[in-house]
Amino acid sequence: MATLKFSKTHEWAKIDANIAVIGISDHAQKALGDIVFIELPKIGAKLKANAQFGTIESTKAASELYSPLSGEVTEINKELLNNPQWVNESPFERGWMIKIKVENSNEPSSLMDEAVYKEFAAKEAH
Amino acid sequence: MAVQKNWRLILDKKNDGYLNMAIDEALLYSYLATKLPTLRIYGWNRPFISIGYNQDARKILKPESKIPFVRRFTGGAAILHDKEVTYSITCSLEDLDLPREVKKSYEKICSFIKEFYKHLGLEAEFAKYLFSENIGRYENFCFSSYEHFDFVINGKKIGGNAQRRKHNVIFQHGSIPQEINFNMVYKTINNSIGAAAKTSSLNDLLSHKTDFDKLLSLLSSSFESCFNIKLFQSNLSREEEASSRMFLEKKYRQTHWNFEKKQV
Repeated sequence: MATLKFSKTHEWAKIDANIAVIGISDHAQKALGDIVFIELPKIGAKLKANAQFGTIESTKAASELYSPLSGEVTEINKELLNNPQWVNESPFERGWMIKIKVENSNEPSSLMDEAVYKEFAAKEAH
Repeated sequence: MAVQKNWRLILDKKNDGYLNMAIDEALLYSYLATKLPTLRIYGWNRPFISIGYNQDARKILKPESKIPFVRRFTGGAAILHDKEVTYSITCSLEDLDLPREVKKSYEKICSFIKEFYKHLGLEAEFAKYLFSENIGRYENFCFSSYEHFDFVINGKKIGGNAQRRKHNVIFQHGSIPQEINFNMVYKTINNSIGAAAKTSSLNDLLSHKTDFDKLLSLLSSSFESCFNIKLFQSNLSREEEASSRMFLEKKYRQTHWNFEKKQV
């Protein structure tokens, strides 16, 4: 059973065994507006938790994407590069960005679960 | 209310595009360490193209163009910088009490530019209140495409702005053209023909030549009055100068950055 976790920088990680699928939250895509470009890492790239893994451009703003977990990139959503609007339309499904092999099984516990994240995002908006 | 902080003003000179982008990026990294918000105002010492972070120079620029170009670290589209006043703002969301939403943050930050235009006797309105169609449509040339919080005066867009967001830091720079050489634009940027019908400049709107130094001063005083912030004038720190030199040599003067978006 996959577990959905969120970071303070508004990325989500769906973790199943030692593989995490990563994207940005619905709250984040709404704040960004219409997404026109996405830049993702190469397969094999080693990511550190909270370090930048890509950029996302909306409304002439290039915003940095941060990995919620450490690990090696095993897959990227290549179709998303040509369809960046999927992040707006379907942030948790078609808008997924990368898959990583999780390096440290303790790291997910430092992330927020959905209810806590929703509260966090709502507070931040005010 | 915004947290009252000291804001630094850097009234810079006219530089080439490589150095201008290197200084801007140095200011972003400097903020992460110093938390000192900065308004920098600067110019360009020769015609220079900047392309957006995600643009492909080979697709955007005409191969026969002899005008140098630099890739920005901010989003958006290509600009031919020449006779213009350019500003950059480096701050956190809290420094200006900015909303997290990108569009709303532009609205708030750009309000000082509206005030600047007002002092010049120009009534600027945000594009979103004037146009419902073609907002956000991508064009190679920045001044030909309207975003919600671009300014429109007398039916034409003036200037353009772009952001980089790094953690909680917002970096925004923008261009306020004194004059636009459309022939040069058409000879340099693909698919830019017809831009003269969509965009304008200060000299055009005011029917006289504007003075760069006076505009610098007016822009900084408009910032102070709009945000109720007292700016203190300063220069780049030694660390920022060193960091600018590093970005200049390792990044902005490098073909693999400007063409391929690759860093050394």
